[in-house]
Amino acid sequence: MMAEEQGTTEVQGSRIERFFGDLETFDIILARVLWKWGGQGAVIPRDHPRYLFDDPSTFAPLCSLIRSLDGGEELCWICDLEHAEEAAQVGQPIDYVCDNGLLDVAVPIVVRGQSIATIIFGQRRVFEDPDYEAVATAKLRRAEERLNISPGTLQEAWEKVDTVTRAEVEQAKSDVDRIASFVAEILAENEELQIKTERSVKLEEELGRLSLTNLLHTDPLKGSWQVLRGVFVNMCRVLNAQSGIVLREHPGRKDTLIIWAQYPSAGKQLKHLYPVPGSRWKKLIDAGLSITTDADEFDSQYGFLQLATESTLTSPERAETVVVPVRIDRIQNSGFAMLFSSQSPPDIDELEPWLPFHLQLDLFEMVASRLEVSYSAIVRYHERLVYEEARRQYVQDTTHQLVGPLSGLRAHCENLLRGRLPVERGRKVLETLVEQAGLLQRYAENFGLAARIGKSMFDPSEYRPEVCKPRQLVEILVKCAKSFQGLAKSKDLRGPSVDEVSFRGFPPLILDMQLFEVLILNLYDNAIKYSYESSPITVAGRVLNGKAEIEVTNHGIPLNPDEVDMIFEQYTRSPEAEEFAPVGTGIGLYICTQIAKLHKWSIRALPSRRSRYGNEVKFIITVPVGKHQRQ
Amino acid sequence: MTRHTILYVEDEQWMMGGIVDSLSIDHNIVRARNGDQALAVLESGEFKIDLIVLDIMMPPGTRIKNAHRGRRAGVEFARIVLEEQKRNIPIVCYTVVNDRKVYRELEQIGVKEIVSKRELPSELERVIRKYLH
Repeated sequence: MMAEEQGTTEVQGSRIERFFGDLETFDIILARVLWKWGGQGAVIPRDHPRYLFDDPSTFAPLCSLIRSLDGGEELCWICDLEHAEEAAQVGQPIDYVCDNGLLDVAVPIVVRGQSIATIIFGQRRVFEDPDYEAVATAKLRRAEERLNISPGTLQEAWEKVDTVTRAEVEQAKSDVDRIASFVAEILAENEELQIKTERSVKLEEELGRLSLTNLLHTDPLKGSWQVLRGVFVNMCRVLNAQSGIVLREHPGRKDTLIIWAQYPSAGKQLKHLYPVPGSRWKKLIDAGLSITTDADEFDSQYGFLQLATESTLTSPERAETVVVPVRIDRIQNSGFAMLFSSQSPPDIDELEPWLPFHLQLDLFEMVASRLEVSYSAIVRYHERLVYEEARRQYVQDTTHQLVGPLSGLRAHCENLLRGRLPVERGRKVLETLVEQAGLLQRYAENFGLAARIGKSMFDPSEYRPEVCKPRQLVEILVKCAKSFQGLAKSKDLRGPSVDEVSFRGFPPLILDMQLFEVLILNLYDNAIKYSYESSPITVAGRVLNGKAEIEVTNHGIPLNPDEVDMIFEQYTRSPEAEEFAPVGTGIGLYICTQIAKLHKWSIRALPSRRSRYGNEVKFIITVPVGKHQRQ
Repeated sequence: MTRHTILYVEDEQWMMGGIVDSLSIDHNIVRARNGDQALAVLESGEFKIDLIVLDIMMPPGTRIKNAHRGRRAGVEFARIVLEEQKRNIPIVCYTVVNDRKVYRELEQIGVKEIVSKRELPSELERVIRKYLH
């Protein structure tokens, strides 16, 4: 073995130097194991081949002699390098007769299947081994020829070299191999830690781009998806993924998946829509992190064969796919899934550190958790924006709803004060004023009720139920209708007219009279507001299958099937309603539902159907009667 | 005194009956509930309209809905009348809207004056008189 360091160019440091940490300790341990061998040993890294921590003072005299000769250093170095590489490729310790005729041993250091360096030691003759001696003698002769020295010059020095037995050689191979495994283990751990730390920092940076501050500049949800696309591509790079996709449910089509982001881009060739049963998607989102090493397994779990075959997830041998579900909404179980396919281990020539996905699960956990937190924050922020906007709009609408009529009242009052109206007109104006003031009073009461309802329902303590006979019920319905007489007349509407006959078979109802009146007034107000001119508004009752129903029908703007539930939500009005009557608060029907809930009734709207007056819209209050009501 | 004809565009005619009472003492009033009705009045030529009192928040009607591009119906109506149809009819807005952006838009279109509904009919009458000769 040639010990002198070769005149190589300055290197950044081999992988073993970068990741092992304390090479001095390694040297000491190696020297102790090799004390029987005079402590000679060196390490040759594969990525930057040269001798590490060798000591010329421990060389056998033969080696020192050869080194002093012209061409001797090169002879030894090439011999060591060739056998170091041979051992690295075999992945196991080997012994061989070096070009100086001495026995050497090469033990590779193997990290995750890759030989990264080789330990070389030996410089001994084998005791009483004719085969060895024949080879050694031939090698000595060849060395003398190559170094251009007289035959027999090296023989004398060779004979002075210490001998070892074959058994001692085998024992040393085994001991040094244990040291190599130990070193490989430490190196793997250090590498893993260092790679994970570096990736973690980069991932944190990428995820930081998803921060709320960045998203404030864009439409919160829309923007967040756009930012995610860029972050995902960078995540793939940082995680050393060969490929990756983001799967989302199609926003408009249930049971359809969309490949929303992809790395590397497959351009237009990729089919972006995949039919998939909803249960499969839920399974994927519920799965938690999972690793799979082949596409078939992935397919058997989630049934996305097309994804595995058509997308970039078609993985090379030995690669892994990790599924990272990110739940945006845990209650509704919605979210997206990121699928990363690992890069296969580098070729034997490229000794770049490589970490398989299963050793990086904590990083994926971090990604999923951070994305979940970010998205929750974004969704909360978005909801707050929507709520704030609704609140702002509500206050504005409330103001408009009151200011307009109050202006009207003041106008009437000024006219009366100025005495400019004829007496008969003055009387009518006073009647109008009473009715308009009543309407305003109802609006104001509605605002108060809406505030008291709070987030979900009336306080049950405000519920004062009593028996309401059919006659009383009709009286309330008619009284409420009368309070809209002037407004209805101004729009040339007919009604609200109560079909009293239809209530004859009605059972007595248990209800809170005051709240019931509010409910009916709001239904009438709604019917009048959205009716076309000269159309009728009717109120009828019926008893059917143990249920009593009160039905308010008007004819006006259309009500689409997808709006029948939405219009009962707080601060919500249909686009047609907003256009037809720009001033409105979206709380009237909401109050109706809350009053109905308090009575354990239901209220619903039917989608409009065409009629001779426009679109016929029905609002139906359903009251369980008999046993249900007594309960 | 000449009785001028005012087109009063307001969807809440019942609520704003006091304004009609007040204005109709000295003027003829033609009423319209939305943009379409108001345009129909102007285009029919049945009345010689001397001034328009215009609400801003009102139902647009089909024609204005198709054209308004997100503007409030009253603003778009004023634009059609003054810019598109180039009618030389003074428009006074009488509104609860208190939005400087909308006010600027109305001024650019050429609306003569904007009176808040907080003002009494007498103030509206005073403003109207400025533009009726």
